[in-house]
Amino acid sequence: MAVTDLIRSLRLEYHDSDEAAPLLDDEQLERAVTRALASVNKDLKRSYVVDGDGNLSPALEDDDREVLLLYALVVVCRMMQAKTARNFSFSSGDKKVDKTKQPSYWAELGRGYLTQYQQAVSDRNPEYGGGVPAVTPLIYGSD
Amino acid sequence: MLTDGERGMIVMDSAELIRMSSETAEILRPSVSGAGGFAGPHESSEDSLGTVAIEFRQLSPEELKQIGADGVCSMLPDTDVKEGDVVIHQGSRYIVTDIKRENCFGAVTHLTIRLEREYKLCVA
Repeated sequence: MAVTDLIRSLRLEYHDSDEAAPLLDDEQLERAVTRALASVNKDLKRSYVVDGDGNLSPALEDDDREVLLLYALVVVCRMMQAKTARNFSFSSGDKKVDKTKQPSYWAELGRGYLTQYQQAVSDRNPEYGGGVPAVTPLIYGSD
Repeated sequence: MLTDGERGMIVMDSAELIRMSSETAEILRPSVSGAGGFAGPHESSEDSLGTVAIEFRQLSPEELKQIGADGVCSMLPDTDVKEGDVVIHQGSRYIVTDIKRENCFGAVTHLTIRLEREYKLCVA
């Protein structure tokens, strides 16, 4: 599967269909897919890589694809949160625009996707600890 | 403080609000001729300046009476409109009596225009 196909699926998921004025450009979405790939490899113990032609190798399994898209959506939401962080409200004459709540809406959406991702990974990998590093108890005084 | 990009965003958002009303109007400008002549200047005809985006403000008769206008509308900041021009909106003729350039942090967001209804036969 090509990274461009994943980018197309991502745009469908978060409703970024206006080609003339996309919310995020392809380079940003490629970054989101790359970060998602790293998480999926770590959390599901896979070894996917992007080859020189922009294809995922080995071929992405359907289940893994959905999990990867979920994490990519988490990254997309963080990107949109950063993009809208400087939004402000203004009024001019009879016109009033307030976009200041957009960052918190994106953050909330991202939290929802992260919960779904953690659930999906837990179902597939029982050893997954929800992203929290494994803690090894260390008892002092014992050999 | 606002950057140039953020000022541009304010202008774009305001323009979007006006365009979202999906209303348009034709602007006519009276052409004055006869200046310096014996009869003096007079309005011989009207030239159409084209159709522009417009947003009519929904005001009650009491509010309009208080403002002293028959209608109030918004137009995009770069609209070529002057006092004395005629606005044709939904078959009604209005004379532009006042134009106010609305300013927000140094950016002209839109024009607020007061209109006076003109009861004259309007050929659509």
